[in-house]
Amino acid sequence: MGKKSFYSILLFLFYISMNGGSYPNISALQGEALPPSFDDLSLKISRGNKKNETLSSRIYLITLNSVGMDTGSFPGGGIYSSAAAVSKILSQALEIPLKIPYLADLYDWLKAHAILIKKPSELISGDIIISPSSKDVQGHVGIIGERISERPDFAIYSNSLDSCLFLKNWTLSRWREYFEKDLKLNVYYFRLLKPLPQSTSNGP
Amino acid sequence: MKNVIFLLFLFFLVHNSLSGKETPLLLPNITPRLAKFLESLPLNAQNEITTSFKETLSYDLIGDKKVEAEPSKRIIEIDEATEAGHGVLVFEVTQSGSRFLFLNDLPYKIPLPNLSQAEQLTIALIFAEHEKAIFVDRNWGRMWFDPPSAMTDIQKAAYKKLGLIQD
Repeated sequence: MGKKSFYSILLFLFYISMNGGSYPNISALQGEALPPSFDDLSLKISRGNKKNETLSSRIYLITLNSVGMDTGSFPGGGIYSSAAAVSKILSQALEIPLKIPYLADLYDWLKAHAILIKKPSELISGDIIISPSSKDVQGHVGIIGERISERPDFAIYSNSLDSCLFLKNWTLSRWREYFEKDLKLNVYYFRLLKPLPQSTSNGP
Repeated sequence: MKNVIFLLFLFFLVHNSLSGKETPLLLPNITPRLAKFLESLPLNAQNEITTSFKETLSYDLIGDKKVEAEPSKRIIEIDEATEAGHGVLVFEVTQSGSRFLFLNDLPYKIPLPNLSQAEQLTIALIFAEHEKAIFVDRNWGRMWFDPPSAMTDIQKAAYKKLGLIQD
């Protein structure tokens, strides 16, 4: 073994020891991007918090933190509580006492304080999806989560009536299939852009 | 003879349809409790209520109550369940038939200003009694997001009447 080979092996061993004794990430080498873990995401958002954080990313982060939230103590006892659950998350994101237990009121509030997103392809995590009730069919509201396909499709977080918990329980494609096609309800997407002045915070 | 049998058959057919004794058109997505209750209503009221029902959703009786100031009038509340949540269908039933009033997540915010105070209180009381029965051990004073509360005046009145909250 020549001097060059010896130093090469030494360098290799040093590299491995500096990387915690593990080889480089194989999936990364294969070009497969792993989904960010919750901790990565929290870190990323908290790092960009002061300057670049959008309200949507803040809503999304609070949504992730709220998975498993017991909606049983909300107006409607977790059974009639889809608007109350989303209202609670928006309240935390905006840091205002927003209390909207009625879907129709939440829809009116969003029309007044958020921008309407016209195409599903323009959605980002933290947007709000709402199907207002018709005259005699109950609607639903949820928060757009992570993109799960390029169709595009997204996970949706909302109140679950089976468990009375706030969960990741819909996808955009299934939501549209059920509410738009089966129940003939409208589907709207909204995005909150900036914190609201205190005077507009109390809801209907 | 054949003609007599045919005429008798025709007579029974017409008689039954005019006497209103036929069973109502009940959808399979109605709970037995609601089906039994609907059968107690006049046929035209049954039909008016069930026309609001959708085959893909399911329905259950929340409760019914006479309006205190107008005993000939009843309020009926029916739970409508989708795959995602529940809503409350509110109907008014009088001797002449029934009328769909509104659908809401919770029937405390009443979107019809022309309803009397007694009718509004009846609507709120039916749902408050339902809540009292299914949500045991609840802190009723705090459930509406703490002060400042989102509770409506009519809900407060119903909760007070049932002793769920104090002045």
